[in-house]
Amino acid sequence: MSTWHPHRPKGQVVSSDFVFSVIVFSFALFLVYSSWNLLVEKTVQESQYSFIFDKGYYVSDLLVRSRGIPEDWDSLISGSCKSVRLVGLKESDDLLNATRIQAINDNMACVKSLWGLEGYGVNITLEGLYSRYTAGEPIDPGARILVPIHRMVIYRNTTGGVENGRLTLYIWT
Amino acid sequence: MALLAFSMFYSFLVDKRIEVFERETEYLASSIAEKAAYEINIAVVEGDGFTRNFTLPESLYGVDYDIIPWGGFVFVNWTTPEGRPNTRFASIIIENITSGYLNKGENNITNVEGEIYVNVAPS
Repeated sequence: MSTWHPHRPKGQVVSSDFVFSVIVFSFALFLVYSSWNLLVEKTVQESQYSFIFDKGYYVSDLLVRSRGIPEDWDSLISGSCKSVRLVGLKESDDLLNATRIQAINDNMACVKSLWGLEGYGVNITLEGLYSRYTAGEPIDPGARILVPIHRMVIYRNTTGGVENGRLTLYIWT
Repeated sequence: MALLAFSMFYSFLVDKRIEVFERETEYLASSIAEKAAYEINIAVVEGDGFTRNFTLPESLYGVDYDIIPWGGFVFVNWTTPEGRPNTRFASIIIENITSGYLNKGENNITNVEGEIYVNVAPS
């Protein structure tokens, strides 16, 4: 025969089972939340990488395939950025001119605006066996996205020699 | 209570997915504008006699868009699934198209004596 006891719990809402289930449920939600956030961040980064890569390819292609518009852009650009429509490194049909890297370096803000790359870090490096030229900012090792675009080229260095080399355009954000 | 928490959580996930979709769409629209600008610029740079075919996506992840070269830029315009108009444009194009329009899908570009024709026979 049961007897009434004043301290016996009846109809209680909070029990150890309930607390445990809330903890498990919250943990499961947290796991889903974290992995979802990671996934969407990765998706956006991939889209951004793809955009920067395409953009970098177009910029580098025009750089190595044209003399620039006007052709003497390197002597005009420091006077007026608006007088330049296209930046190009070609000196002749088969040859790039390394001295033009210096003109890019001296007018990087103008060049970046012509390329539509304001807000991005940009570095151009032209290197062969005997010479190396660079323009733009130093590459940021902490960049969230860093895209290198490589082009194999033949160029005339600043001492007049002709070299095989590699032009690398780095873009980062 | 668990159901309520889960509903709120699910709604948050859906909102986040929509935001991500919008950003992906914007990057794709920018890429399309850049590609079209590049094709026009390379046709100008290569000079007389240059011709080539190129393809632009039919849609922005299923969303229809318009592509218009105008005022020295290439614009890509579209309306989001929520009904908001949106636009992205590419960096400078060197010359405007002399005649013709850019299409979604297959395109042909030709340089005849410095004049740029897109999807039309040079006159």
